[in-house]
Amino acid sequence: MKLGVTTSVIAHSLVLSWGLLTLSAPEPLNVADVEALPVDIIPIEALTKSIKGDKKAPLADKPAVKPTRKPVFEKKSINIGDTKVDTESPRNAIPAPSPVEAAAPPKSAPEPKVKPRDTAEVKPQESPEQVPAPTTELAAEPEQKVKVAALTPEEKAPVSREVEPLPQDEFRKLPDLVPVPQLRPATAQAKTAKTNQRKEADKPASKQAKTAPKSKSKNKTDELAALLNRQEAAASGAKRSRKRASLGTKKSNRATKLSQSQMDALRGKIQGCFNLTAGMADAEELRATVTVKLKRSGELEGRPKVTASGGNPGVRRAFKGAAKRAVQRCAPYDELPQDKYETWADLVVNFDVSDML
Amino acid sequence: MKQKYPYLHYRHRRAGGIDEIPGCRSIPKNPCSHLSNGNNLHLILSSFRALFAFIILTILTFASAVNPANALVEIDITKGNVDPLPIAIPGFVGNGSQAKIARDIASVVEADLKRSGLFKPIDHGAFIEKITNPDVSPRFSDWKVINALALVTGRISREADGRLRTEFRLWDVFGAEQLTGQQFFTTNKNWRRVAHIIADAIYERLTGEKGYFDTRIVFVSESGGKAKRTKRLAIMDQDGANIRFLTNGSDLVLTPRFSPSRQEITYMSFAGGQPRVYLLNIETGQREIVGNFPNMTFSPRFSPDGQRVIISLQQGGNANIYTMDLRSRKTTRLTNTPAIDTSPSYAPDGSKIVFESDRGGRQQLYVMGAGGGSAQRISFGTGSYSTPVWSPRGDLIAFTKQSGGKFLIGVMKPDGSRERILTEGYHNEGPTWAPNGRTIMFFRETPGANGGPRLYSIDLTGYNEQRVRTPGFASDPAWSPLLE
Repeated sequence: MKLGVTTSVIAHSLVLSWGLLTLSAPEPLNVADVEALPVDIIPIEALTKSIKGDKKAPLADKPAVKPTRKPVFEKKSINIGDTKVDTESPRNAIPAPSPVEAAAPPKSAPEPKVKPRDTAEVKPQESPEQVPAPTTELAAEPEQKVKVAALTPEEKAPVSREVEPLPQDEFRKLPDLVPVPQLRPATAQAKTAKTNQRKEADKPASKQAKTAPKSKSKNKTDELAALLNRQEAAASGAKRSRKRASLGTKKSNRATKLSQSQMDALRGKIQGCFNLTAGMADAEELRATVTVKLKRSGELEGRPKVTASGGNPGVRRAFKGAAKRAVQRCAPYDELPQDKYETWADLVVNFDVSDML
Repeated sequence: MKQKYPYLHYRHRRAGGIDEIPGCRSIPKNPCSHLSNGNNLHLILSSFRALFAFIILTILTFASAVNPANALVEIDITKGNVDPLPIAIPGFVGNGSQAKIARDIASVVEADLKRSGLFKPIDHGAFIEKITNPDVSPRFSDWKVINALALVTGRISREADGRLRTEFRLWDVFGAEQLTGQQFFTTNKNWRRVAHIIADAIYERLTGEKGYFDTRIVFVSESGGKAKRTKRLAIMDQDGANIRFLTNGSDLVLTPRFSPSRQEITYMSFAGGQPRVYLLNIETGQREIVGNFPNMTFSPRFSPDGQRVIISLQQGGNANIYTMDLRSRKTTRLTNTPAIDTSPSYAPDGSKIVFESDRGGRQQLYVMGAGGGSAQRISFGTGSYSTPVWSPRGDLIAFTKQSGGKFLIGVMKPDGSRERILTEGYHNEGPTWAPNGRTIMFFRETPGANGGPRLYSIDLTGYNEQRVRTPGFASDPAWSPLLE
């Protein structure tokens, strides 16, 4: 019995261990291989439009749109209140920018400080001009309109008289007035201009404003100038971007190519306009290329340029004519998408009918 | 670029993820015995997928980088319309007595161009602008509207010496420019020729190939019943006008051929009982026999320089090809076979001769050098081939083919390739080429007691088949070269 049990145990264990060693797990089904490739059916437009950008793209890829627009204002931007150094504009212009927007009142505080400096350091002639100028412009326009309106009609007469002093303006523009940087209470202005203090400062400013318009309203041209100044200042707010332009194009990045179906439509249209002689001699060798610029309206801009090769001179000339005529006959190309004008502004059409005849 | 394909990326990750283990699911009995194995497999697979995704992304990145926004659309046109070109030919301007002739010239030009099959004259009723002064640019917008691609304007006036002065201009309507303009002086009678010359100029400018309207056709005019036909040699303008008879019909005449260089015709006549090849000067009416052969000579043709005539000479049951120099009258034998060699025709450069021969059993086409020697068979289709004619352009050989009880007119390349059948019928025969090698004229016979041969022309494309108007029946046409 024992012998039987032991032999049985040994035999079984042998068989089992043999099985463990040799019989491995069943062959795994190799289905995974097949599933590894998810296939998407994508319309061709997805590819042709694949250049379209993504709003969530990291900044590094930003199209450099802003710098291309701003350079016009670059010089003027120096005049902004925020900039610390102003080397170009005459000092008379200094007060003018300050009225920008609502910032007018705070200047009441700095001005007194300025005056002494002016008188002390600059020629005495100019100081009177400078002092009234800022105050009038600042206060009058933004806040005290009603009062000013009341005042101005009364003093309209003086305006006409004092139009003559205009040379003052010319004076201002003179570059002779040198020590500009010193005059500026730039730091002071910047501090006072902060929003908290503005409202409080308004009240005293208004008093000055009353007086100010008197002096200034005589000169309507100054008011206009102030308005103009304001606009300039407002427009020049931006600093020039120093960011590197990305690889993107200057123009919009959207769908930079005509879609396949649009190309096909264009091809079909031109083919319909292309009229050629049946059974032309040497048709296999004939090639022609028509290059033409298109207007936004789809009309041709100027005459198409045609080059042709192959065939004998007579046939080549006729083929050239036929190719050119096809492009001209099909104009205007007004079915082309307006928003992609940049892509089809230049049209190149190659004619090759070697497979046809 | 990666951020542009979040979708793609996502799909790949999910497909390779652990949440889907297809192997496990598909073996329910032993759920995950191979799990570890499978995991490894998945690890490998997913890394493969990552690689694959990377490759795809790289490719797409490059693909989009290679396509920068360029303001240029380039299109390849490989097809076009072979429809006839719409052309507007309003009547020419002419005063008083010239008014009628001015209209007639324009209509002859119109008819010529229309017959070529390459132009479609626009109906005059559609015209908006009335041309009053051909010297100023027409209002192109008016002609664009009716979709005329080309416009012809012209004027007839009489010179002090009584001659007609004809001028014309060809305008490109859509390009708004003049393509060509010419003027001619001629006698009153010659106005038809002027019209044909103008048509040639227009044809040449617009198709790039020489015209063929200022040409004539010589043919055999047939009259009388089928049993007793009178055959006369006749000549007419290519459009069927100005018919003249060259022989009086007392003798049977066949196979007239035009000289390429002189106003001469060679033909075969049964005058005097024996069929012989004759030479006829159209202007003087002088007639002579070609060569001094004892037997029947037939199927003559000029060499391209007009200095020689090539003919077949019957010798017993056979026929061989000879040439005769028209100056020295010297004859040369070109073939020497126990077969019927006939219908020889020179290549336009004069270097080779194509002819038909039954040396292989049936009639087939052979090509040999202009000096004779060994010939090479070029026709291998079913049926028999005859009357080969080499195109003036040199690129094709026209022939008559008999197959399946029908007569067909076709063309093939000189090496025998690219055989095309242009037309077929009960009895078509005798093709002859227009001088520009684009049109073939032949005659077609209708069956029946009242049937007879008539002349037809067909375009090389095989589409534009037209009947050529002749009084009565006509056969054996031969096209002249361009007149000088």
